[in-house]
Amino acid sequence: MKYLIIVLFAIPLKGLAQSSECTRSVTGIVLDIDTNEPLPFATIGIKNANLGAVADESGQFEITNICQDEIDLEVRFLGYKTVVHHHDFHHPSPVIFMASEETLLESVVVEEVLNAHEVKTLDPIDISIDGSESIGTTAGDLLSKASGVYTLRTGQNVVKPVVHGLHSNRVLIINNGVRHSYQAWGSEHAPEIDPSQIDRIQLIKGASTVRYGPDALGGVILFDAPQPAYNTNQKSEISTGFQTNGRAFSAEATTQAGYERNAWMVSVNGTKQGDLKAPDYHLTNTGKREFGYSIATRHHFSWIDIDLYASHFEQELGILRGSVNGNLADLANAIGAEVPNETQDFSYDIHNPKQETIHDLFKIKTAIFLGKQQFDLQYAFQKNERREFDIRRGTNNDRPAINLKLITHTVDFDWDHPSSGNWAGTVGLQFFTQNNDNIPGTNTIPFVPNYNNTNIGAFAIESYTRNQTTYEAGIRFDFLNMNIRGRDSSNDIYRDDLNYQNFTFTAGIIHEFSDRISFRSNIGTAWRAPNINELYSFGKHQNIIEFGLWRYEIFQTNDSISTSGVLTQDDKEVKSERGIKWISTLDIHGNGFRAEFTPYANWIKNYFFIRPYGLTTTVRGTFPYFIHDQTDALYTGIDIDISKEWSDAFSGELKVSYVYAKDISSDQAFIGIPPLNMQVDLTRKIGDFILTFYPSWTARQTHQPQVIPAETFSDSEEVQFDRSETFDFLSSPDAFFLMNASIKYQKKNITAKLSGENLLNTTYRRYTDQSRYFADDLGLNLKLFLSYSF
Amino acid sequence: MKKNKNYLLAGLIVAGGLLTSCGDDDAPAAENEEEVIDLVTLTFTPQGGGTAVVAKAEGPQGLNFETEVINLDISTTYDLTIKVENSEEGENITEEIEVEDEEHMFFFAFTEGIFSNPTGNGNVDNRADDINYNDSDANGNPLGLSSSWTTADVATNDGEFQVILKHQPDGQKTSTSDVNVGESDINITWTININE
Repeated sequence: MKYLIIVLFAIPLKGLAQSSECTRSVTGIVLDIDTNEPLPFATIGIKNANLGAVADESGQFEITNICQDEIDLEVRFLGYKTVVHHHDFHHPSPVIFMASEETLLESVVVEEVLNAHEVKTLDPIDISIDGSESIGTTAGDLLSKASGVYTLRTGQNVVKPVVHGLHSNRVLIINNGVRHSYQAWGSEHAPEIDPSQIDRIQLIKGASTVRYGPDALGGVILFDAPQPAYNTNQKSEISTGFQTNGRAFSAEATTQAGYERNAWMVSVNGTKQGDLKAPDYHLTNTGKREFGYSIATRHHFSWIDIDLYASHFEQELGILRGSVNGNLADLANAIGAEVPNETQDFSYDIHNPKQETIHDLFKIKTAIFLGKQQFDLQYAFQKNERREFDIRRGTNNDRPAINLKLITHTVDFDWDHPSSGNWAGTVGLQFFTQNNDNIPGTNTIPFVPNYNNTNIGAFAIESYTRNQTTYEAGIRFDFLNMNIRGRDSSNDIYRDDLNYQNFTFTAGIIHEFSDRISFRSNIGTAWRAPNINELYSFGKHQNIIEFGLWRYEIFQTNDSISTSGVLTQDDKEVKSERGIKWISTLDIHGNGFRAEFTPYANWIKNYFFIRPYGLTTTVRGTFPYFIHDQTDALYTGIDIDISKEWSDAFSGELKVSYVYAKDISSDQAFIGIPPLNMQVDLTRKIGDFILTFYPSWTARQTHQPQVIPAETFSDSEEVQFDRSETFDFLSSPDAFFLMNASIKYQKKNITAKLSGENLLNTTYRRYTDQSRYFADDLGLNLKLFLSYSF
Repeated sequence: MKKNKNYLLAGLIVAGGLLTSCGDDDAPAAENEEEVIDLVTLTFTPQGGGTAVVAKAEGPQGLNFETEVINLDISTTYDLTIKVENSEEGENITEEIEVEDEEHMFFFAFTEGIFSNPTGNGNVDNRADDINYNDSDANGNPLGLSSSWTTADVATNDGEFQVILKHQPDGQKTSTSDVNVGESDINITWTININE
């Protein structure tokens, strides 16, 4: 660690000498914030100096012969809100977004980023989140607006994003520029990200490990919170949301102000939701509570910008009561139930099973400008607490069965070298250390051990642009140390210390065939070390019994399995998972029309998965048990996104996602791969109203493993199944169509939105929902959103 | 300018200090695995006196349960008591079941004809079928830690005797709640012989 800090101190602090000759100049561009169109003839003046300019037809301006090092630019345009921007010559050129006097928005100035630190050939999908969408929902649901993204659910409230068929440890989540550190293992652990704190999501569908670090096999999701703006009057906003399904209500209050060199923003929000409802019955114990707040400040100095951000988010999430059951006979009974077991009348109460999580984030981010170079240095602290309560006997019901605290420190350092000629590039160092502890008092042997993970990564990405073509290549090296301390089934301590190191690569090309057709293609490698549960999980978790790779041994000679020991790398070698993903996008656009075709293929070697291995007789009856294993997998598919603007007031979009995945070692399907789905959006503006219809259709997944109903096992004790084949207890659900629509009204400082989901009250189940075995998905849901700003 | 530089230095020092102070080497604390049932003992005591018949079912960590054979005499009435334990931790789970009798109930299934009282095949397939419970909860619903059985007057080999303990919390246990309600805490099948 120490050497990293020395490197940071060694950044040459030269080039800061000031010049007082009148040779400075400033260039910039003035745009309309709504339409992004240039505003020709906007006037730009320098306060306290007799200098100025008028924007040309493309909105661009240049002022020369400036004497001062720091200036206040005042930008005026008739009918628009005047904006003052404090500019100094260490910062990049300003981009001025002017807001019309009639809108709610304020004019803002953004400093052009020299280099977006991105892998250019992996163009992120940018989703901007409206305040009326982010209240009373989940981060996973917000993201599912993009093509190629699906959601994985557990008991309705636990929602994980699935990108091109992959999720959990294979999709990296960057929250506010910080690698989100949570108990990513297990489908029932959703990222603890406050949806009301999201105003923009960027989705990178390629293997972006080189830029963002290990685990990014399927893609990277970047959630961004709103940022306070400089030079703005204090403004506040109060929003509330209500929804009929679950009788939920949410509230959010935000206030912010910006001065010449400082800006701040404070936000607080909460949600209370009761039992949700399928078309025919209540989903008992699916209530939730959420509370969160955040404080952001920005400080602007001549050669350094400092941003501070702190957030707190706590959740109490009920899990569908009818989704928890006992042995195979109970499971068969629960799957066959017409109405989920233990369904009761509506209630706001949350009982076991439930999850309680708290996530705290603090970050300090600095950007240092030296001439045409930019250095970014960021430190972040995260504390993630998770308590899971199962249905247990007696006083143990008040004790969590899983109680984990994960502390993470991350340090990121990026340097954008000056673009010289056709070359541009970024070099970076990333460091993170995680400390996971089991909190005593669960009255059960910890399912996963205590561990410390330390990762150091260094990367370089360089691009070269010539004519209509950009070439790009990047390389990264990672070193990961895992130190593990756990308890085996007889409460004896086991320890291990593991090291993993990997090189990863990325290479890509962008070519503009014409003004209307462009093509980008990227091939990248990614890796991840085995997760703690893949190595060490032991025993019953939820409804299944599972054994991690180092908790079982198979003896081929007499076809027996032993689960008594704790193995090490010497006994059974477990290699890290390695993926190579190719993704291309053909983009055709013009005249308000745009079509994007994005095919991809992802080949993953040493893919970790879980497979059924046998039946075991327990005191509670017969249970199937599963072992963690490795195989080779292929995920391939296509996303299609077609949009058309017929006029300023009428536009439409069609999004289609298809993914095909299989285990290529044993030539069989995986469980839970998202089926083909498509969504249409039709938007029509009428005066101050915006009407949107957004129906969606999801096919039945036909590529699925064999089905062995649970009652087959419970009816006869001597069922044998082929161990080389995986199976599911229930076939994939039928295709379904959902009708959704919304109407939004916005005038001056009031916004109102009424939306309806599943308007036809269709009965359906999702293949990627863990509760699909037991209960239908949500019925009709009407939502009302109101916001007032002042 | 100087002030700004100090800001950065201070930030780095704070960050460095936090980073170097976060390693530890602690194993998780030992937990009493009091959840797991690893030993269930059936004790059949003849009502007229005589040697009690004991049949255990055992599985370390609650897995891979193995059962002893129950050997009863023909035409004899037995009192059956069930003891549930975590033998690894020396914990008597029977007591917890007694305390929570309003949310627990034992169900029994057996090979038809091996008992003359109760007759039939037990109350797993039909709650209303006959079982001679000797105990009940505050609501008057049976519990089943204690029950009575009279064997038939003919010998049987390799019969089955299944014991299911259901956890039926939150008012689910009623006078009609059957074996399909709630979670199974115990579901074990013993082999039973009725000997001449």
